[in-house]
Amino acid sequence: MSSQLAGAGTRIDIQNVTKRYAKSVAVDDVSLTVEPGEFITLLGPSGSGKTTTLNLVAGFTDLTSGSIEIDGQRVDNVPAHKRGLGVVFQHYALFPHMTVAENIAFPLQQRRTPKAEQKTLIEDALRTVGLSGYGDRYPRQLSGGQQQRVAFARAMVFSPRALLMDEPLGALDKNLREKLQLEIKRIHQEVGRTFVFVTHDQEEALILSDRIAIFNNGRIEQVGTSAELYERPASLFVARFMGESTVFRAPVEAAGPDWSMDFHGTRLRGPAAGQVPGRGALVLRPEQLRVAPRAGDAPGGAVKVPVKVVQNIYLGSGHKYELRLPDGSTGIVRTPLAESNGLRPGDDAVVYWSDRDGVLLEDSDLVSTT
Amino acid sequence: MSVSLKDPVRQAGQARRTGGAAAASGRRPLRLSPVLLLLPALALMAGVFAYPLAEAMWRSVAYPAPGPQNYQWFAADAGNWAVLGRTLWVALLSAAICLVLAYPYAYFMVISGPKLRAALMVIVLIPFWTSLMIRSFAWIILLQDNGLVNGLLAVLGLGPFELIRNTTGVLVGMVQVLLPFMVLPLYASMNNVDLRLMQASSSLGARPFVSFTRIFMPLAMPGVVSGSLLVFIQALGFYITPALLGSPAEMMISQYIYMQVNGQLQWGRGSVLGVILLVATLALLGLLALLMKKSKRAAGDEGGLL
Repeated sequence: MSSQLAGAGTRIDIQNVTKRYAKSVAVDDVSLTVEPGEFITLLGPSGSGKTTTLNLVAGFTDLTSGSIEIDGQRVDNVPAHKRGLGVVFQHYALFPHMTVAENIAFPLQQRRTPKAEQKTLIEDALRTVGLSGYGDRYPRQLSGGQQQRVAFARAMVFSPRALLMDEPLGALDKNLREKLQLEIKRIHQEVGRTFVFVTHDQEEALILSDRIAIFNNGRIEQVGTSAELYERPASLFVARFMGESTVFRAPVEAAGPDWSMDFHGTRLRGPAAGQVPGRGALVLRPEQLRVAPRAGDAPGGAVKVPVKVVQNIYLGSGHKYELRLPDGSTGIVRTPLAESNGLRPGDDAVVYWSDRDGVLLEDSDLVSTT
Repeated sequence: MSVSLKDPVRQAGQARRTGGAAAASGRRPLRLSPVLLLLPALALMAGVFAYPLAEAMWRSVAYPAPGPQNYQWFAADAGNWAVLGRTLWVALLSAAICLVLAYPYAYFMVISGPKLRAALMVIVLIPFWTSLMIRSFAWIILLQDNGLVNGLLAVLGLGPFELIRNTTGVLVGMVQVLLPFMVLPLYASMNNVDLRLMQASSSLGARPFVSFTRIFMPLAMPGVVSGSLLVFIQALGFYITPALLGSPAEMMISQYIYMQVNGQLQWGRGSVLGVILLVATLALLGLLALLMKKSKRAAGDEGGLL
């Protein structure tokens, strides 16, 4: 079903944007290009600069330096009300003294849309968010999830060049959040516009996004698809932020493609790394690792590290092990149910993996656990 | 007897506690202790408000002789109507001027930082803490024919203007005295408006002026209503300021009552003036409440101020 709200996407170019406050730098030289029709998520912990970046694009905040272009047109000096972007807020921001229909009509009135056309557009927008027939209610008569749907309808009804969303599901409970995530994804596919989404929830980012930009300390650490970020993280921060991982940290010896490092008496190898750092952190995902009671149980070519079992959790679909590595840090292993091995907390065991797996990164942590 | 209550157990409980009266009227049961808490205030109100009011009403028809002659006197004299009209008009003007002055002030308080806001609050409150008499005398010094204001105007080649012993003087004094009663409710009401709605409004394409008039002003409306009512009603009964800054030729009703009672010992006529002021005020408030109710129903709002 084609919606009247459908339209071509818009390109957003953020170039070397910095936002400095009196005592801090909220956004530090961030560059990001959002492709037309793309669903991009700005993901990061609180205070990482993702919301400030969104506010800069929306025009709620003035930038200190850099430029923002929408479809090749510079907008960083254009006031918010002339940027033509739809914004959805975490706190809904519905006008309490207006009905649902009046709220959705508001942006159309600003654009002097003819009355008859307004009516069709409002009905279409309400249908898109599944709230047909709710036009005469007041926001306070709706649940949180319904209010946020109205906010979506209001932000989309005037066919904005792009839709910006600042943690729109942050105030909702888990079940509703998951339901609305799927709906947002469906709406994105239906209307085909550019969506910029801010969240601190990596699972939400994985579900929704075409691409994810990972923010940390006011900078973008990496931009990529979920798979790229998960399989080829560019930094230890990204590796840890995107899903679970086990990190083996040691100085890198024998630089070059055939790098190796000595991890508490075990020689670790792995796929060639682009830039081999001095202090290395070899990152492995839980499903790349296996655990066995004795070193002899592991295949010949595997890399093996002796560990102690801390937890063996039965998950139905398989087991999740929490292990103590020789340097005292924690390892996470997930195995299919077929590979049950009866290990219990306190047992000595061996964690092993193929030397074709793993990503070698620079150890950026200041505190060493060795 | 009650027929519509669905919960027979609760109904029975209510009936037992209150002898059935509360259940029948659909109200919650009265318990004794909250009533006890109200007693001191009720006693005070009865003694200093209800009794004198009843006394005044009685005197208006009983002094100097029983009969409606005092009301006839009021109705027959155009001067009496002029005083009543002037009083309502001056009170209305005071409220309007206070609103015009206080609205931007309160808005500025809301959007400024905590330090500046505290300073602005103190500026509003300082006159509040000063004696009414002192302030009124201060205005005499400032506004008299050879006072500071006319002196400054003379430097500019203007004036002198008659700023005192007339309605202008009364308005200046009343507005200054009553301004805090407008600023404080306005500020409280504006402070409740979520300013992030203005951001949302601008993202939807509204110019700052449109955001202000269509989002901020309607949401701050309760403060406008309560502030205006406070100022208007206080202005109606003002005595000291009109007595000091006004003129006997442009009397307000409180001065007129004083004159009738203290000057001419016409207790009946003074009482009539008081009763008529009360009735006029209640009628105006009733009208306002009706209008508010209508506009509130249109806006679908539930709670009410009046």
